[in-house]
Amino acid sequence: MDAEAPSFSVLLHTVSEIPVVKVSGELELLTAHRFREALEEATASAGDSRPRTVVVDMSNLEFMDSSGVSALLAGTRGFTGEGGRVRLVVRDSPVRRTLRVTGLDRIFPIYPDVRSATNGDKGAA
Amino acid sequence: MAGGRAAEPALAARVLEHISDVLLILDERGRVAHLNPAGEEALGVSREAVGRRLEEILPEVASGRVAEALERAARERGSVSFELNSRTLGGWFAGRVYPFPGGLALLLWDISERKEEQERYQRLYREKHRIARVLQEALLPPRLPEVPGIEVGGRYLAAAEGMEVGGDFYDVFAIENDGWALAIGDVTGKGPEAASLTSLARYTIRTAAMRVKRPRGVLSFLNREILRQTEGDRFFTVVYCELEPCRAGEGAVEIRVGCAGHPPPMVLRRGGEVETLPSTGMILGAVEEPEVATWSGRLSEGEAMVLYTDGVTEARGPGGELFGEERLRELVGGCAGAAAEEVARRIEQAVLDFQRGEVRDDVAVLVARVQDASGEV
Repeated sequence: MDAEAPSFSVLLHTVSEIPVVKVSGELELLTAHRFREALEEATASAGDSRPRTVVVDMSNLEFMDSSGVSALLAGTRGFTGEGGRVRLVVRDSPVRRTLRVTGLDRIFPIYPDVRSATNGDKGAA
Repeated sequence: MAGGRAAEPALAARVLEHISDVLLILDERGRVAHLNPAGEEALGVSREAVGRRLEEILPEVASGRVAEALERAARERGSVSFELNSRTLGGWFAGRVYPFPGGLALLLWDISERKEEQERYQRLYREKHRIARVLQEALLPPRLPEVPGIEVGGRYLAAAEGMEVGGDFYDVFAIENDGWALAIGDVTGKGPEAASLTSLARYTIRTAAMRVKRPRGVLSFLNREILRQTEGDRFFTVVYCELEPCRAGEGAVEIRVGCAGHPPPMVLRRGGEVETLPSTGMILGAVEEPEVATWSGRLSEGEAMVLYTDGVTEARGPGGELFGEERLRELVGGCAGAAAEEVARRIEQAVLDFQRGEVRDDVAVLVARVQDASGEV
């Protein structure tokens, strides 16, 4: 089972004191819960000095199905409900298309790279 | 050290006398040369077994797997394994035949516990499969209704051999005095949670269709109900479509479509042109007031509306390439003139072929086509 599982990884790091969830590979039914857990950890660790912000770096994400969409919404819901900001880093890929079809690109601002996302440059690609 | 070496065969022989597995040694003529105590007990014989033919004390070996194993081991001079459900031994035994110069050694051991475990597991597996199938069937219309002047065809393909209830659904129903409704949706996740949300979504759409009418209203109503009735972590995408026959004799149908975060439906025109909704709205369950993309138009005779889930467009080939919207659009364009059921079937087949038969996500397709005036399909 594991040998056939597609590549997937999720890492949590910090850029300019902003938590960045870097998700790579294929986000689908089998891996979505790990993404959601990382989002919950990141939103919990976002400092409250300024508007709390979390960046989700999806630039190396090759594929995302509806389980990934669900994980992104569910994992950030409480945080955005309390005024937290979630910014996505996405390049042109099938993931971009999924975000457009599901309307998530109107819920979360999209940036071309992590630096503009952490700076909050109105980069929205 | 000569003494030590001489002791070894005696030690091995003593151990073999005490093992709980059956050890039976046959000479070159197939007669029993030795049987250990465990063997005597299991076969219900004593010393007199020595010198008799094997089939006299274990009739099951006369034919079948054991006979084959014995024959093969002697011929190929290598060990051969088998399993045997033996009346003489009183259950399932595994066995192995070892050839040696001068005969064959046959070792048999009881595997009835393992077999019972396997059977229990298979029963559970069949039962899980059955539950998934029954639930799944309850989430789809048992058969599509007869819609006057419109053909409807639907296809559903469950991922993972149908072991889990999928999150895709479709529905076709009459709106009181006001035409017909089509819906297709995709609930995220799998299993019982997906099944319960699917069921909630399907019946809420039916209720909303009667009470509020018009796609935007229906989908907004649905969104409110989902937010109200779930913990706020359930999301789904849906296309809802109303079909209303134009005045008698016109042979055309008014269509009103609402899309909430779902892959855009396609309209197949008579000449094979394919139109797609320009925007797709927003997934339901995420925000209080989701955008709903709407579109209205008219289908003439022979024209069709094709609804599908992302199991079609996000299907991936062996190299990871996506089936994609473009491929679907081309496929649909080539279906001009085909009956609704045939269009749905061709899409399903193309998705199956593309994935080499290995379906990773559920696939649902729903096609509505205005009948030709002549009544032919």
